[in-house]
Amino acid sequence: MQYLSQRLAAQPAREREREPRDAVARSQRDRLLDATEAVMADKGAGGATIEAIVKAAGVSSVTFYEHFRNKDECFTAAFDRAVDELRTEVGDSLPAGDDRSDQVRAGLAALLAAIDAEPARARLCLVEAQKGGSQLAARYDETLDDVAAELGDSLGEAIAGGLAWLLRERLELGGGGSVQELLPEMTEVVLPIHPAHG
Amino acid sequence: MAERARPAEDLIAGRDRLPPGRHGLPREAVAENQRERLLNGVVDAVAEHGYNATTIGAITEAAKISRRTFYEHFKDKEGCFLAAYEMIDTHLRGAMLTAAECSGPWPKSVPAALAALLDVLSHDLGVARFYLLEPLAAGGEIAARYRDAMQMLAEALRPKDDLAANAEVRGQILMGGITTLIARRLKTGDAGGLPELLPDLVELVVAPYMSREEARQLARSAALRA
Repeated sequence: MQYLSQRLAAQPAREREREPRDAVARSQRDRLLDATEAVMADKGAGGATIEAIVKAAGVSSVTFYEHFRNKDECFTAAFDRAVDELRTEVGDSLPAGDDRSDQVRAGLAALLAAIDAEPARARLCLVEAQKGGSQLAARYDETLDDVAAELGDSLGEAIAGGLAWLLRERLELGGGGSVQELLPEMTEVVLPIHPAHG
Repeated sequence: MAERARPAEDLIAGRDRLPPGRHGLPREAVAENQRERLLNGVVDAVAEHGYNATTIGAITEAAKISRRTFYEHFKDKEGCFLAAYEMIDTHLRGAMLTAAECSGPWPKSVPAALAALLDVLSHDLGVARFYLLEPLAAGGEIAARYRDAMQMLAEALRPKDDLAANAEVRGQILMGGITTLIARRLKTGDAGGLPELLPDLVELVVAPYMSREEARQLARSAALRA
């Protein structure tokens, strides 16, 4: 006898046939990543089991394994998507020109607004990423390195690490309030530090 | 060479096993020696296995002490970890404050205090990882203790008269930045290279309080010292 999930997956799905295959796959994948984010925010990385994720996504565990080899791969994909979104939102906010203080202010404001807009996504990026196993933790470190490299030398790395720590603390211990009140203080600390580029 | 009888203090200060049988040491000295060895053992065991995978058996094995004796000293793994953390933290902050006091008023005290911090950590990768990398993985009370420690280090580095309302946020960004730079070295096993971070750390600490040129200058003079 096969697994029940396999038996159910073997049924012809009428809905599915109407849509192009890759569109179905894409939406399933997105739903799984949405669910991963939500379950992690709700139960923490430790409580985010595959069972809980597929349940929240409304897909079968067979579908899960069509997209991801294991939980680590799913966590990492959810993290990557969340980081890409955050970086795009911050990147789009930066004004043209080369006035550093304008750029710092606008970038920090956009980052804090993006965190407030989607707390679960922010929690995944800044808090749970360090608790969801060694593969995800390694990806977090790589991402922080990328951000640091964009900010400049090791002073840039210190800024990236310092802000990540501050925000992590707020999200983890701050009881879910807005982070946007931190903007003046963050700007005040970051502006006097001048990493050297290239 | 005949073995010289060592005074009790040597045995306590060192982490040696006491000779078996009657050694004429007072009870408290024996207990203190056991405790010290357990604290050393937890640092070694955590360095090898990471906090979460460390068992009490791994600690007692590293310390060469029986499980029963462990429980005479500590309730559980967390208690033992916290006691070792306390000892490292006290030592480290003491080294920073002493160095700062000997080098004059702020900001002159900053390079001295940071050099002391890097010096202690660079001499012992196991201690450094235990102090900075493991507590967050451990979570709970240990992570809370780490947060306190970082806040106190930030206080030790800022000017005494800085009563700004944002001092706490500033301290968090600062310590997050400092620990990020240190952690990168520790993760690659390069504790010995930590003193090279001194100029950057000095600049980070003083930048909010002075002009860019003054901060750079202080960092440069710290570089000479490193």
